[in-house]
Parts: sequence; C-alpha cells; structure tokens
Amino acid sequence: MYKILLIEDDAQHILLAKIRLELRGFQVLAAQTGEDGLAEALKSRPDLILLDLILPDMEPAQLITRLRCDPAARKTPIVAFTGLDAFELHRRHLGAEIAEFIPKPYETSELLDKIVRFLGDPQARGTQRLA
Amino acid sequence: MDRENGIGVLIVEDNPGDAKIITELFRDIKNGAGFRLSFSETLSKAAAAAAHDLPDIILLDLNLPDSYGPATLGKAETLFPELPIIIMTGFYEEHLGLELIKKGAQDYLVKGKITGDWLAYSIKYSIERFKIERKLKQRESRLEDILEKSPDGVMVTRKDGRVLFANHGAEAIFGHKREDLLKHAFTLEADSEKTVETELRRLDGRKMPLEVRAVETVWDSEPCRLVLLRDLTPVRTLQRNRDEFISMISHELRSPLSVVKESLDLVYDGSVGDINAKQKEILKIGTENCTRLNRLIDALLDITKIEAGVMPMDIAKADLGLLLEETEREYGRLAEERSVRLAMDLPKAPLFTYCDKEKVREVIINLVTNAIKFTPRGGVITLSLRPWEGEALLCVEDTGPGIEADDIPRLFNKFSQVGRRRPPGVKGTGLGLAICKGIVELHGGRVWVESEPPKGSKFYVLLPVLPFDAALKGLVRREIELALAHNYKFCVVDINFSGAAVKAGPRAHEFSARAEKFIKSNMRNCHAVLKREEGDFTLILSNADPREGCRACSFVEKGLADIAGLAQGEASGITLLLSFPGDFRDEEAFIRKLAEGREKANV
Repeated sequence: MYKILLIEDDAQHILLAKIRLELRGFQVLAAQTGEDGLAEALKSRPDLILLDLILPDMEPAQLITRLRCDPAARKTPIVAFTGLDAFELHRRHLGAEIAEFIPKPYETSELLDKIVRFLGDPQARGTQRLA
Repeated sequence: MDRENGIGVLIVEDNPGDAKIITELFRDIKNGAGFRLSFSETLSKAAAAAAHDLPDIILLDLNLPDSYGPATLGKAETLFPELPIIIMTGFYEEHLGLELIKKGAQDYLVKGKITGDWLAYSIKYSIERFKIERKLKQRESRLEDILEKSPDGVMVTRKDGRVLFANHGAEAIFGHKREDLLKHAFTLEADSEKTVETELRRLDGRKMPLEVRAVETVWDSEPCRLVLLRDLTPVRTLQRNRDEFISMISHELRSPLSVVKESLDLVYDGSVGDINAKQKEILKIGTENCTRLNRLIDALLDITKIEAGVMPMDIAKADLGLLLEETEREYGRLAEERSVRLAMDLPKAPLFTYCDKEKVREVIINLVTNAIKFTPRGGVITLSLRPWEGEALLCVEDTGPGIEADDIPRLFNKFSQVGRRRPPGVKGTGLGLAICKGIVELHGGRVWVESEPPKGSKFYVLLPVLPFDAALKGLVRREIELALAHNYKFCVVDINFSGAAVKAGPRAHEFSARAEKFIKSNMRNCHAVLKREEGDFTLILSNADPREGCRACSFVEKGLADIAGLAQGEASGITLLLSFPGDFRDEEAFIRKLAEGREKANV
C-alpha cells in the first residue's frame, strides 16, 4: 500500500483529505507543522508528500532543502498546494523541486488525479489483480 | 446718504486758503444747499471726524502735515475703504492725475481750474461710480472665492505656456506657491478635444495621477487656455482597494466553500456510510448551492477584471461558425430535455476572426443557456451567424416571453435580473449578461437585444472581423491606457518560431504545438497572449520594464530552442522586444516599430 504524507496545518483539511485518500486505497500520514512533517518523512519514508506551502513554522524552501539532505528522501515526489496569489511566486522559486502544483482551493478529484499520475491507482491495480 | 441733510463731503485740506476757495466753490453751486461740508487738516483728524459723522465722499489734498505726496491716497483708502475719494491737486501735480485714478481715486480735480458745477457733477458721479465699482468687486470676489475654494486646480495659460492665473487648488496640486507657478511655463499635456489622464512628478518627489481638461478662452482679450486639473489619487486608491477587496474576498470565500462542498460530497456519495434517499436529496441541495456560489465568485472575479481592464486575453484565429456548431452540439441535449429545439443558420463560407475563442464561447453559451431557461416547451432557439458590413453578426433568437422595452436598458447591468420574469427554479448569477457585454466590448464589439413580447427576443453580438495586427493594436491600446493610469511600464514580446527556427520542417506541427503549450503554461502573468500563426505568438507583459522583458525573451528563447533542438545561437532571433514607453508611446508607433523589427529579423 502506498504511503502518502500530508503536511498541512489545517486539521479540517487533513481529516477530509485523509478520508478521501484512504477510501481510494492509500495509507495517509499527517503532520501539522514543518518540523513534525520532516520527522515523519524521515521516519516513515512516504512514497509521496503532499505539502501546503504555507506552514506555521518554516519556509517551504527550508523544509525541502532539509528533506533532500536525506538520501532516501532525495527523490520523493512533492505535490504542493498554495493559494492562487502565491502560486506564480512559488512556481518560480520552487518549481524544480516540486513535481506538481495544485492551486488552493482544489477539487478532490484534481488532487487524486495528480497522485495517481505518480503512484498509480491502487484501486485500478486491485481490479486488475482481481481480473 | 441722507437726503434731508444733503451729501456729506469731508474735505481734508490743511491750507486755510484752499479750504476757503473750496467752500466758495460750493457756494457757487446752484442749489448748493445740497451739500453738507466738514473740514479736517490731517488724515488722522479726518478719520476721527468720519467715525463721528460718516460722510458720503472725501475730497483729499495729497500734501498734509501727516502724509505727503501720492502715498496719501493709499493711506486714505485704508482709512476709508467704504468711501469714494476725489483728489485735489495743484497745477504742479496735474501729471499725477491718471496714475491716481488707476490707483483707486474716483476723480482728480486741479485746484483753481474747476468751477462749482463741475465739482458738484464730479462728486455725484464719483459716488455712483464707487457704488457700481463696489458691486462689481463683490461679484468678482464671489467668483474668486469659488475658484479659490475649489479643490480642483484652475489655471489660465497663454499659447506659449505662460501661466497668467492659478488658483489655490493649482498651488496644492503642484506644491508650488502661486508666484512660482506664474513664473514657469505650463508643460503638462493638455488637449482641448478630450480629457487627458497623466502623471505629475512634483519637485518633492511625489507622483500624482492627474486629470487634465482644457478649453479655449479669452483672457484680457488674448486667446488663452483654461486648464482644469483634478487630483486622481483618491479615485485610484478607491479603485485599487475595490479590486483588491474583491479578489481577497473571493479567495477567502472559496477556501471554506471548498471544505463545505467536500464535506457534503463525502457524505453524499456514501463514502463514509450509507444514507437514505431523503438525506441524499437534502445533501444534493447543499452541494448544488456550493457549486452555484462558486460560479458566482468566478463571475464576480471576471467582472472585476473586466471593469479594471485587466482581463487576460488569449487571442487566436477562430472560426465563429465552428464555435456555434460546437455550442449546439454541447447544449442540444439540454434543450431537448426541455423540449426546445436548437436550430442553426450558418453562412456557407467560414467566418474567421482573431479573438479570444474561449471567452466568445462563454458569451454564446451564456446567451444560449439563458434562451433555454426562458423558452417554454415546444419553442425554438435559433443560432445564426452572418457577415454584416465587414463584421460578424451573431444572433441567438428565442421564442420565449420576450423583454419589456422598459427593462432593456438595464438588462446588461450587473445584478439586474429585471429583464424577464423567471420561470420557477431558474437562478442565475445576475452577472452573466454584464460579463457578456464586457467580453464583447473587450473585442471592440457590441451586444444588444431586440425583443417583441410575448413573441421572443433576439440577442445580437457584433464582433469585428480583425486581421492579426488590428487585434494586437487594440490590446496594445488597452495596455497603454492601463500603464498610464497605473503608472507602470510594459513590454511586448513578438515570437517568431515558425519561420526562423522551424521552417516548415517535418516536425513543424509538433514543435508549434509544444511551443504553444510551453508559452501558455509558463507565461501566465501575460495580459495577453496572441497566436499569430502556428508557432508564432505575441505576448503583452504588463507591469514589466525592459529588463524584465529581456529576461522573458531569453527564457522563451531557451525554452523554444530546447523544443526544436536548436543551438544557443540559432535561437537568438526568435524574439523581438518592444517596451512602453521606451520604444513607443502610442499604438500606431508600436505597429510601425513592430513591422520594422520583423523586417530586420527577416533580413
């Protein structure tokens, strides 16, 4: 089962996204601060990180640099969400490190599409196996 | 003036001989009893006497013990501002006469030359003249007061620019004293044909947006210009605040709304447990209204961008007939569901124009869905297109209830769902037609409606059929206006990828498509992206100085070189940069420079 780490300070967002992703067959870990997120990422080695670019305790660039220091996390894809106004700015600065940007607020279907593009669809795999 | 006591004359004269002559002159006057004489030897005694018994006029000798020469007049005027003054001079002072009248004396009489009747005439005449003068002065000062208290700047300038008059408002706007304003030439751009919006750079470093209006006038019988100046700072601040407010609100509304919708969706689709049909129905109302609110926010943002003139445009050559056909394919089913027939009436030859296809599509969809909403079962909606005097005339005609003539003028206003009685259950944003109008006008077109209740309505859209350069020119004009209003620079990047780099090679089509994708996904802050031909684009980068323009050019060149597999040097001619206001100041100059630039690039 694919592990997704969600770093996002809004507990409501975490709850809703977690339900959606778990229903879809992903294992979801969550952290509400950059520090916790980093620790969780290094400990659990997720297959993909969902990152809100506005964190209470650190700049996204800082988090990404520290994450990439660990060889195991060097290539973990990061999908980032951010408000529309900061979208262009982040895209320019962090573009190279971030696999996909999702402007906030996002439709869950859009989020799922992007995750599936990187990890494949656990449900589709399941059906294939059944067939 | 007291009729019974006659006209009070205060004679200020220190020479007893002269005083005696004057008294005798009065005695000579027929009906001389009409004057009541009093005498003072000095100005200060005269002041005391006047305070005690106010005369109607003063006869003043210029040489007194407490004042000497022409300056005496000025002193007397200050002492008796409400009284007419006649100067009495000796022979040796006669030359001063005219000068004294210019300085405010009513008349001057040369002692020993005058007769009694002359004196009587002069006194009566002077009193009347003084009254008229005072009335004129009051009127003038009333006008001056209005001019002074107006916050707008008012100036009168000569043809050569010299300032003849400036009010307090002008002082405040320029940050200069009036005396300084009168010393310098007026150099701001002013046009008597139209209102000019410009920016004033003040000496104190402040920049001030100004509205300048000018009218031809005559000042002291010289043809001059009356210039009216208005500080636009408050207006600009208001506009900016409004735009920022709306985009902030829209975003702040959207975030919680997406949470609400997601929460409802999760329950609605049974993801977190079974729900019954009734519960499902209720949740559906919730999600539908979330969608509606989202649409409203989109519409609000759109209309704000349109009104602020910053709606991004994505221009390409489009077949309008095809656009209508696509709409028919998309909405035919919806019409059928409501038992309404969607008919088409297209010209034989395709009608192409450079426009923002998706926005024009939005207009057509808006008109068609409106028509579907309002047309009763069994009705017909006809989509038609025809060339009309060199332009393209689109029409969406329905057999609905029609619109009352009184409602038509307000139909395209924001939030005015006044036009038609809505069938039950039909809810719109109230912005659809306002946005349609905005989009059509962005294209330099016109939208209007003709209706004959209760037979139906015809919504017309007249779009200009533009060649590429004309479409570009229109957008550059819009950008120039914006740049002037907001005081920024902007750049136009002309990209010639098809000719210079790809040269119709076997993979030209693929390269062009990839180039388009690259440009559209990377140049999101453009106010306009225009696709000239496959692979050729023109970008309008708003609020960008030439340096930023250069960066954009090298970014584009590098990206396109990667796509076509070109070496570094081969890509350098792909882009052409023109910046405002460095390279051009109006759209005509822009088009000229662009043509020159392209010519050079081809050589």
